[in-house]
Amino acid sequence: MTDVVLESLRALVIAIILLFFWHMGRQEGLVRQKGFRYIIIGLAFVFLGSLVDITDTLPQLNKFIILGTTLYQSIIEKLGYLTGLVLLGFGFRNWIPLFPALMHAEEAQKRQNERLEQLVAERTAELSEANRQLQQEVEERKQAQEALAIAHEQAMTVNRLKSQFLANVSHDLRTPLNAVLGYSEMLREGIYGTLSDEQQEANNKIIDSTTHLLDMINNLLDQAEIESETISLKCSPFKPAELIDTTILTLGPRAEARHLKLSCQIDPNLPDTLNGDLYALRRILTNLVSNAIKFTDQGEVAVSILRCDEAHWSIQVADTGRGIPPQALEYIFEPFRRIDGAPIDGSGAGLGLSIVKHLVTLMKGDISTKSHLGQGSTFTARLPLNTTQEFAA
Amino acid sequence: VIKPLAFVIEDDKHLAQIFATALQSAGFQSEVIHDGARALERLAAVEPVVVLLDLHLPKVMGRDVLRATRQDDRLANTKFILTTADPQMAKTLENDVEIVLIKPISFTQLRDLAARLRHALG
Repeated sequence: MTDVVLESLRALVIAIILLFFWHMGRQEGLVRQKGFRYIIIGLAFVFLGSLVDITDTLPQLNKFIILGTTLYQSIIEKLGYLTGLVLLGFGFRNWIPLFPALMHAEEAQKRQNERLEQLVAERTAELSEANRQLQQEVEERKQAQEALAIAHEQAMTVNRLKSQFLANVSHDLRTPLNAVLGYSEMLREGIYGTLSDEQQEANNKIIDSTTHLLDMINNLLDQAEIESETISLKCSPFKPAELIDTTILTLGPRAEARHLKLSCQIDPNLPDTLNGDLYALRRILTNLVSNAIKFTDQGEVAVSILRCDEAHWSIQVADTGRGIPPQALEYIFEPFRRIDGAPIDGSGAGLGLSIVKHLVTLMKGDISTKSHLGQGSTFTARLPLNTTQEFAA
Repeated sequence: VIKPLAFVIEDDKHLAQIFATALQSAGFQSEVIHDGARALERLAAVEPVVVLLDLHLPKVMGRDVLRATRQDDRLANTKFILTTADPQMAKTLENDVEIVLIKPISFTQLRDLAARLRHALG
């Protein structure tokens, strides 16, 4: 009887294990795995074997067992156990290699985690280093910006000082030269008594040289102003007739000294006032006329002011001088350029025409040249003198 | 015959002499003044026909001399000729005066200009 109870208990335990495995397999989705199926089937066979084992000791149940006799029961029992154990063996055989892999995976995971942690630490260090560098860079930039602001301020100061210096130089150079020129002219005009021919000639040379020096100084100062971009034009009403008169008055003696006729032709419809920058116009006209006088050996220099259209007037200076070679027409307006082989007297810094061009451009006008070698040249500055709008300076 | 009076207000003594001589040659009687304060004093006392005024003056600048005298009705008919070596400065004042001369100023140029003014006075 004890055997039956024990064998039943064994069958029950096996059934529980089988059910547990079955239930777990369903839950974990292991049913499709070959090894698991072997285990389930193996357990089923063992269970079957144990059931048959029970009937072994309960002969009264024999009639319900389709397999009949004890020998068969014994065979079935042994076969059940044997097959079940073999299948269990197969099942576990399929499953066992997974364990090291799982173990290995766990370790790998751990190592991976450690590696990740290390990587994170490294990256964090890199990031904080980059951050530090960035902050340093920001700091450096800030310093550079401050330095730049200081440098800019200094440059502005230097520029102001330069302009002031130019104004002072301009005053200090022109004043004594003006005295030299004035006294020489007074001598020439006989204010201090009549000069002998030789004295007059020497005096004329002083006047010539002084005028030339003044021209150079004026042009150098103008050029310096152009280069430092401090030149600014102001558009205001002026009397064009006065502009021409002043120029003729100033340069007349120079033309006379070279035995040239200095004439002027004014458009009969010239209004009393036009709009423009008087100083720039004076510089344009003075440079053009003194250039014409310099390069003309005989004949005349003619100044004219003519209407071009509704808004434009042209200031024209024509001479009967030596003319400009065609290839030189391309560069005569460039600063410091002088026509090859001219002027014969070697005077001039090559700035006059470049200043003229610059001023004409500032006044939103244009300048053109016509010239025939040996016959003379004509410079025409076309300027918007009717407009009251300010020039871009 | 009393010649019309012209003031030469110029701090450089040589230039002042040249300008004064040019004005005298054109038929004016000239008085030379070397600083702005003295110019204001003299302009308050007499009414010259022509004032040749330098902008760069000791004590009181030419600009201030001009501003003070331009408000004086006694000097409404006085012709002001501004002289300066600084064209940028001249630009700011060219509407307040009759004539602006940029230095260097030629003796003959000033004499001829003054002669024309003298002629216009009759």
